[in-house]
Amino acid sequence: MTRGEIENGSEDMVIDEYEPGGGERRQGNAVPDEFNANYLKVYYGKLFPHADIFKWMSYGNDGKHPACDKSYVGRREFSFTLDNDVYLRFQSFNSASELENTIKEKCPFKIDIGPVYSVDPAKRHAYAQTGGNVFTPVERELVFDIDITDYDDVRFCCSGADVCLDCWPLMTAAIKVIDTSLRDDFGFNHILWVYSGRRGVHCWVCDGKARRLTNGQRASIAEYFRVYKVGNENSRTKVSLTGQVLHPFLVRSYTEVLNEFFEAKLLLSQKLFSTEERYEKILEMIPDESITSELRGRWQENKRSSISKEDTNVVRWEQLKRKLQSGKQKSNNAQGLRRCVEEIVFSFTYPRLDMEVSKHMNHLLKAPFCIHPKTGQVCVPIDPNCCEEFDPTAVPTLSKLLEEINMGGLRADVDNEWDRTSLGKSIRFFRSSFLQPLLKSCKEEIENTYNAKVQQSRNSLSW
Amino acid sequence: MSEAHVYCQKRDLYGSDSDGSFFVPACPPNALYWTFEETRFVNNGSCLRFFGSWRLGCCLNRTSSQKPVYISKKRGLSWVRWLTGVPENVIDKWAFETRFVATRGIVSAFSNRTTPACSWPWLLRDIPLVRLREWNSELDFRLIVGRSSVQSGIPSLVWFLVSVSVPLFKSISMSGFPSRLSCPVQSVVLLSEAKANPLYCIRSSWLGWYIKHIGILLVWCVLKVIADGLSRGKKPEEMEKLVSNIWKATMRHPEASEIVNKDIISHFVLRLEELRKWFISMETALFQYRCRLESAEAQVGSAYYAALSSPFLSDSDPLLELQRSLMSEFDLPYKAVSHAEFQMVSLSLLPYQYIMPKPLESQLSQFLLIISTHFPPQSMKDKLGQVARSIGQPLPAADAIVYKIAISSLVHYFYLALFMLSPTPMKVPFEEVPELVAGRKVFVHRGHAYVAMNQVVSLVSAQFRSHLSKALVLTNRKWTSIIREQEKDRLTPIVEALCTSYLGPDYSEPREFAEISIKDIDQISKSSFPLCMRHLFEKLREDHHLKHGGRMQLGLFLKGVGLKLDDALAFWKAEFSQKVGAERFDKEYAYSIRHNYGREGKRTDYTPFSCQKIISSAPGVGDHHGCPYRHFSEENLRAALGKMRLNNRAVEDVMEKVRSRHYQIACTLTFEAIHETSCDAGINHPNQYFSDSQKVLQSKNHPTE
Repeated sequence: MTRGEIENGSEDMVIDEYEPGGGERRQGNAVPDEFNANYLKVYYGKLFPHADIFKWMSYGNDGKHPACDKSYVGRREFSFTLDNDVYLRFQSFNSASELENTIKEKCPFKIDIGPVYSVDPAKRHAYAQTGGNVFTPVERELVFDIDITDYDDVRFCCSGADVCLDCWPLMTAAIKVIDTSLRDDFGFNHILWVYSGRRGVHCWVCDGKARRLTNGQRASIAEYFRVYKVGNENSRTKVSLTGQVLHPFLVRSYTEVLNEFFEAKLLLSQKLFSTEERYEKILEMIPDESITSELRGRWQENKRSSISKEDTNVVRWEQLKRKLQSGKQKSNNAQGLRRCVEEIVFSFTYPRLDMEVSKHMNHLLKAPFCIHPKTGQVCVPIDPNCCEEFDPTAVPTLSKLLEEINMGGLRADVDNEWDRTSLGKSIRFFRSSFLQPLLKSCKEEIENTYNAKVQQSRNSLSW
Repeated sequence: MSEAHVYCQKRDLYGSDSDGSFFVPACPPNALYWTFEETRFVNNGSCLRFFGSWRLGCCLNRTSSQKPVYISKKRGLSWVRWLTGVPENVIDKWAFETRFVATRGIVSAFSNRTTPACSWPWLLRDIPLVRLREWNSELDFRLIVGRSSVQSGIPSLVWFLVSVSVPLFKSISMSGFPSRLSCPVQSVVLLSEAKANPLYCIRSSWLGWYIKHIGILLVWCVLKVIADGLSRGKKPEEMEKLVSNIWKATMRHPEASEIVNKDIISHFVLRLEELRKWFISMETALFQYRCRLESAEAQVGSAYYAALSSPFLSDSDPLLELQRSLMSEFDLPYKAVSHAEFQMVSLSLLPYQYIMPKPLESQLSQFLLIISTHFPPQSMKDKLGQVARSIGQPLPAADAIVYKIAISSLVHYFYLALFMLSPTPMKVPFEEVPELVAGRKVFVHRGHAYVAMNQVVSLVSAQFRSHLSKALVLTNRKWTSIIREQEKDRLTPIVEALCTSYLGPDYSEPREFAEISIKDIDQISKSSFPLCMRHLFEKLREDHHLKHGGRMQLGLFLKGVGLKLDDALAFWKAEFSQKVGAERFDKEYAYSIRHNYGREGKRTDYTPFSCQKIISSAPGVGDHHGCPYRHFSEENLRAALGKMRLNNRAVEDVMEKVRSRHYQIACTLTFEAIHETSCDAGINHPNQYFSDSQKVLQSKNHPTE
């Protein structure tokens, strides 16, 4: 597509699909609820934390230390989706101001972050001609992408890209499971969770060790997290848990997060046993005919007399559990049946990752603090320690932020404009909980490698 | 001086003896001899005499002022002194005119622990390296390194082998090395020490020789079979059998050293070629299978174990001793979890600790009972047991495994043995064992995986892989920067031929069904195009446009099918001009079509894309290239297959293969369903699909022919 087409793109394009139920928004204010390029310009001009993003991407290499790799940040790919779906890949920036100016000028609808390449991606063609210098990704955060759309078979409140407070906790559970494992099992420390703006969450693991993983190692981590069989609709259950006991990671996920989440929240919010259609789905996962027919019989009977004080879902789940876990079953099947309870819980609650995103270094992922063009919501960071409190419907939207700016009136200090808006909290969190500790450890790492190198060269000299 | 001459003399030596010394009448001046048998020599001025127990003979010029040299063990002379006693220019001349033959006897004498370690290497080291290199093409070294010399791991020998001698020897038999298994680990570790001389394996003279005589392509075949098997989705057991058979079929040789030869040489030759990624993964796969096979066979068994526990390790704990020495030798980054660490168990402060296998086993059953009903907080030892049970493996009976695996071969299994022998699991960075992590077969904690003793193959093969990968990078750098040019008359053509020979038939030139014309193309596209090309073709007809990836994929395919350049231009123009206009076509698109045909730019005659390339491409929005089996959504693929008139059952079969990501097999099944014939070779290339299809159709049309 040519340059002309880009510029001709409708200036005031309005995305018609607007998210209903996006929290209460003050109506009748100066800023109408819609997403458009003009608002975006203001957002990039006054609110978007360009400098923080650049600082993050530099990983301490913008410092003055002699061991800093000056070319590092300039080898990072950014890519912009402009108005009109024009896609600009392989953008690179050597300074925060360069990044800021380009973003302000191009006003991208979406900013994606790619890997750090062996050479400046913007000049990849020039390098290709000299030969030898292969253009290949060398570093990339380990990323995860979880979409609520993948949970459509286990949520009954919404479907597709919609999300409400009843199904969002599925994401919360996913964050907890993955975050705990990344920290406790894999030993990563610098993990950023970001709301993807509409229907899911992204995770950025930024430790040096994580950034340098090979594709194979990334795939192995993604596999470690996988319990779902590859999309086979016909299989009895979507989760297969084999072996006599569960892997410690699964056990921990189950006991610390999933079980409680299933019983205390999901069971009730999604009313998993309320209708025949729904409980049949669960009964399908039980391999023993006699049990399923007994339970089915009991539930069909008391459908009419729903007088119990307790919630039917809880009652039925307890019945099912008792049935499966009672030792009366034939011994050869007992193990499988006992595992069944866990399989059901896993099927409903275990995180469903988009594996491909995590497996390859060169997968692009939307940058934090972008605006989702369909919802106008900002992709704000989520604190994994209190992710239960995160409310996707209360995320600041572009129009809300503009209102807040307008209300504040003109002020001299343009630097901290965001501080007065509802975005302030997110940016402060991003800095204090993620960026500062990250940069501190980057600095240490740089110093350590430098010292080691100095030490080594000293040794070799004496030799 | 000819080679024949040397051998002739040797025979003479045998024949002419009467009094224990040998007389060689036709001895040229200043010649140096190595002999095979225990003989010794005396220089009589004009002749050469050999006497028992000495193996090197020399004939000095009769006019030389030097006295004839007698060498005998009793007088305590060594090779070094003997050689250094000769003026340099004389050595120079000798070496140039002579063929050295270093025999097993010499090397084993060297490796005998009672002999000074450096006696033999020094011999050659005294000769300046440069000169050795110059002579190289004239020399006919054959080096046989005994197991014992490897085992004793004398660094100087290994350094010597790698840095100096290997390039000089036309063939190397390393009887102690477990052939291919050992080479990379051993050589790479040492390679870096030896200032990385990646050439050491590929001296042209023996390369050419071996290509003729042994055929590297054999191992190529083995790797190729593995690749095929994997891509066809064979089960692990099937693969194991397959590998074992193909290995035996291609590599078996009555003489063990020959197998080793083939193995080593082919391995190193293959390192040169350019399909590095493929090579690494296939070699690693082969490595793993061989580890399993060989440990299962465990032929050398007890003998090797006896060697392990032989006197030099006779201190209190031979195994620990061995472990320590290996650790330092290979500079391994791993450590076994120590007893001390284990002893410090304190559940509250240090919840994660280790345990030795035995107690673990006894505690396990009890522990399992608890865990199945309730999940109590666990210590690490429990978790390790839990992992073992979760992958359905009994806890290893440590002793059995140790010996079985450790014995079967050498250097590698030293490596293996190191782990096998350690009483506790190994703690390694999780990145080192991606396979085990992926299968949740290890306990992972704070960035470390705890690898049980019976899982070591995975660990070692990851090491193998990374070493191999590094070595390949080095080799490749050296090759492209220097050697390719130097060897352009000898090695380069061979190596380049290797790369392309892998790709199977070359489809850049249409063969059997040369020349299709534009008017036939619609009909042919329906009958004989594979789905990927058919889809592109239809999209082109529909949209009158294809993005770059699509133009490349379809354009080159059509070229391979037999569309001439002029026809191709006309064909593309007819379509594109409907969308962008003829003028813009000529300006923007015609170039790339001529480019495909090698008429523009670099003027390379591009080859049509293979399935592998198409499958690994990444079509974006609006792209239609790529492999439909991989890149289409399920519904779209079903629809497309329906359009090709596959029946439901065939579609389900195809979909199943697609789900298990065997795209080429899915394509093969489609081919079989459409043509109602079997296709055992499988589809590896769209043009192969096309030509196979044409063959089937023609035989159907003319059944009598």
